[in-house]
Amino acid sequence: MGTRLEGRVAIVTGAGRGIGRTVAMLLAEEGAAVVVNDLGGSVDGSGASTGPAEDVAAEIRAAGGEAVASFDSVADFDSAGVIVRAAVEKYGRVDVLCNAAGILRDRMVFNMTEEEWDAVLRVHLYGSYNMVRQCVPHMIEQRYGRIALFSSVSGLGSAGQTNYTSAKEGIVGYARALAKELTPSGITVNAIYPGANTRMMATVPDHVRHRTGGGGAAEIVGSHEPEEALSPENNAAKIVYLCTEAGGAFSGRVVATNGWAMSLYSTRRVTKSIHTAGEWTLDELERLVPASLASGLTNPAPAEPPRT
Amino acid sequence: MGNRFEGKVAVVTDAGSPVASEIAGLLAAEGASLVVNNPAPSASGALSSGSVSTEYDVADMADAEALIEAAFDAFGRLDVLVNSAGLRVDAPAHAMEPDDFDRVVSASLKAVFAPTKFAAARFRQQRSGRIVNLTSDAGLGVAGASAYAAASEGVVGMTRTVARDLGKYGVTCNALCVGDRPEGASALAALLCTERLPHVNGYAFGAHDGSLVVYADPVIERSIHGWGTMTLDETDAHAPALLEAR
Repeated sequence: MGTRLEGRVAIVTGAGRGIGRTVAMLLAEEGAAVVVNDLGGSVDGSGASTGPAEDVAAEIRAAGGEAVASFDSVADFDSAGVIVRAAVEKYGRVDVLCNAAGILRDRMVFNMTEEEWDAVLRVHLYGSYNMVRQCVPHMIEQRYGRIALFSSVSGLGSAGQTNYTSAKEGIVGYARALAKELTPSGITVNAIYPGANTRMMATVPDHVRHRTGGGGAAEIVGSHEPEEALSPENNAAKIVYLCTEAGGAFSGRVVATNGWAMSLYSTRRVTKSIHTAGEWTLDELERLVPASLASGLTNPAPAEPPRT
Repeated sequence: MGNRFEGKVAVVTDAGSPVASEIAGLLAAEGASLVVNNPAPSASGALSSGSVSTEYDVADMADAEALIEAAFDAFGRLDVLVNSAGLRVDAPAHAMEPDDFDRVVSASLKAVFAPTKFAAARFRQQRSGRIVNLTSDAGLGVAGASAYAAASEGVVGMTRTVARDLGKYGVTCNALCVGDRPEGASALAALLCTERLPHVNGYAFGAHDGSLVVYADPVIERSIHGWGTMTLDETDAHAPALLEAR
């Protein structure tokens, strides 16, 4: 047992299974009182069960830690408020928010239904907002807070996941904006690219799990690392580090926590620019762009001849 | 003036916004037939005769479908979709209310998804099409507009994925981040709607301060590696190195 989070109160959503669970356990091991939140639904968001959150809270208490289970949904603003009130009423404050709750509804964009779009946006993007908005007033009052929002390397492009990538890269933009705003108040906000063999990753297409270069994203699961590097535990110490006082130098960052490495992602960065003293015309750009802005770009999904 | 879009049909959403209205004017000047959603009342003169104006709510799926179908009803085809929807609400994070967040994300993110979905189904069938999503750099970290930052970067992520869903059908989808003084934004958007750059798919461009730029996707900047599951002691010791200047 460590003492890095002695006296601190943490909320972990999606803590019933997978990476969220390992983060909740480690926070507790370091002395935090933890609200273990999990709706207990399936990967597609259907169903609910108190089992997963109860089990993790019980496991923490059995190990001598402090935890309370919570089953409310992050996808609704008022219900997110219930989660945060559980922390504030029982433990008096909220220092750490780790938002790991998530679902998947993969479909190619031309077949994606409104229901599939809405469900994924509600849990990931609105869920991040709901939890942040409910926590931040307390954190501002405390002039202290640590927020880790789960994003995904899928945000760098992943066929069949228009809903998920929109939400997850949206979370990156949200985290950066929050960090600009809140870091001066002692509150750090980071986005996490996690990765492990969990039930959510099991539904992510192989080309995303093993992508290398091309689009610029590194592989999410290190193929050169042995099987045990895929275990969700590998993410926990890095995420918990960002939630300690010592991790306070990180804010507005995108941090990958999969495998045996911890990596910092760049922003999308200007690599080439062109300038004019006057007005650009289409003629000029047609001449200039192929050899400047567009040179070296490759199509991540080149046109294929129609199947006969 | 040329004829680059002769015989082509384009849909431009939020056509009343300055850059979208310039794009519409440029496409029309190059011969395109246009369906413009929510154009500025004063803009009609700049559009080609015969262009169709609509007043749909593009964050609504039925409306978005009707907008795409309007192109087929009027002109029998669709070649280009320019998504320009965007709403910014400024409020500090602790005072950004649920309705504000929802309004911004609906008007700036779902309003890009909805027309794209219906155009994508048509583009896939015809094995051609161009999509340009206008968005912003707010997602790189603008204080006081967190909802807009989320929606803006969400559009960049969506663009990368739509490109991967549609590329094999000969369709491209790119994003253009419009900033202050976006000179040349309309010409660059129009160029991305031509057949000239079929390999440019899934990328983010920018127009600000009189410059046109291309962004590289995020990459791993720096890593620390353990020989097994990293412990908190190890992250305490080594994570600060991730932030050290090179």
